[in-house]
Amino acid sequence: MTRPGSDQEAAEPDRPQDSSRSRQRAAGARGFLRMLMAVMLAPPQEANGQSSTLSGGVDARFSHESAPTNSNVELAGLFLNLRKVWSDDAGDRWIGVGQVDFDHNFQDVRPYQVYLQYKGPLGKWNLRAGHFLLPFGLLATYDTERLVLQGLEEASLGIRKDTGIQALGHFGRWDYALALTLGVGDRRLLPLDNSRLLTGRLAYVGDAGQVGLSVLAGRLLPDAGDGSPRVRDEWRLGADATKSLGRLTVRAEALGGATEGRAVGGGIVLADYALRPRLELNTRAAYWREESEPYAVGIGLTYRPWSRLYLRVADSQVFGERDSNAFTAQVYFEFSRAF
Amino acid sequence: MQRLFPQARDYKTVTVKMTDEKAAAIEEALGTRLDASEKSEFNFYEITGGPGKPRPIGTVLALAGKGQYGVIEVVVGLDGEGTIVGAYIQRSRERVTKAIQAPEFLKQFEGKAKGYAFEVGKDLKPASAEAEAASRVVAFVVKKMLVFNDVLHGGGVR
Repeated sequence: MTRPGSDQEAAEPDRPQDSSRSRQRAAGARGFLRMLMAVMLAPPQEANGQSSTLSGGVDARFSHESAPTNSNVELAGLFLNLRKVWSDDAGDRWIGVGQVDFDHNFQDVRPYQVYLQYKGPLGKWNLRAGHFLLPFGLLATYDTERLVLQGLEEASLGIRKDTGIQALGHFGRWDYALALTLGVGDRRLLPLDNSRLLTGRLAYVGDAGQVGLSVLAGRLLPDAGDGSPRVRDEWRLGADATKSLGRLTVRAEALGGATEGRAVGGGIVLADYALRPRLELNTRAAYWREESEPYAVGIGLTYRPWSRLYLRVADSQVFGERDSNAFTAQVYFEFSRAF
Repeated sequence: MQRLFPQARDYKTVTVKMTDEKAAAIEEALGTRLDASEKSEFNFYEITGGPGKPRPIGTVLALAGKGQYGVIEVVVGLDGEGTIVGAYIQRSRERVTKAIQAPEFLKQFEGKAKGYAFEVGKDLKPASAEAEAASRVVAFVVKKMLVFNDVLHGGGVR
């Protein structure tokens, strides 16, 4: 189960152990930025209008864990996102997105999502190429990257973003997405000859929520690990639902499948309740069979003193072979500017 | 988009940066100050349609107001003259969300344009007795979007 500051390398975020990996990542980030600049500065021929938006955020955290006892204050993340839209006479046609993240006191520098998308009329169909979030379960519509109580993907899928191509869009009340990617996640720079990964989701979108079915199958290299590339065959089937009930918003996902022939399964429920206009109660309950501490519950508060500033606290408890507790306090600021 | 413009074929995002002069003009028209987050830029969605070469047929705007338990996000469609062709609630956490989403309440906005009062109790009825506060929020957000359209978007489809 994902938790901050874990001492178990298998579950630990992929942090550089030596300067050569840091240089490699920085070089990779520079390469992506160069590619991004080339994409952004070279508009497709039929474009007759364009708009650009630069956005970003700062994520600072204090965390305290009980097992082992450890406290940490860090700039957990700073990110810059550039989104550019080129339009023709009829509508928006090309969309370029590039985001770079500077995580863990600038020790990790890497692209987050970098892609170019061709948009069909009214967005009914789109073709996306690059590095993007996988269309699976809640991750397809709810990215918890900068939240304190996070989704299950790192444990349940092992991968959140990947490089490849994706077809996505909607017809009527139905949303669809199908991606064919390399299965290497954030480890794009490793000399790895990997098979392909197929991910897809079909969802029905109602007025107050949506339900989706997802599939993931292929061979992938999990994002977390000690640096040694070890691909694994896995498949997953998942069902997700998001429902707004007045002040309460509930997101749930159940999934199962196999990893290297071993059956796995679990799920997560995230519920947010608006106590006041600027104050929200956040809860999380998760179970993933594969983990040594498979059960986790969390509770927290989000206070928004003004529109771009979020103050969050949360306490998470995991249960299993070794129970442990983690407390996190976060200051998160975001901005956006069109030019 | 097709919910408000069934004949739509596509849409184009137009981002207009807010200047101090434009912000002041909007605040004067509304009689209230804008939120800091509303003073940077605003997005309009120009709807295109028609047979043959696509031509502008309307504009869609979205804006959030402060409800009792969070934002109430309202979406309106305007025709080429800046008249409301439809409105709906995209997001709301209010206990009276069903009431303010009801067609009977939202239909009151259709046919109105800038110059109307958009006041509950004057030219608008509340969604319900319990939803009077939320109805006022929706009405003010709609009025605000019409002012944004007038000041930032030339009052209609370009």
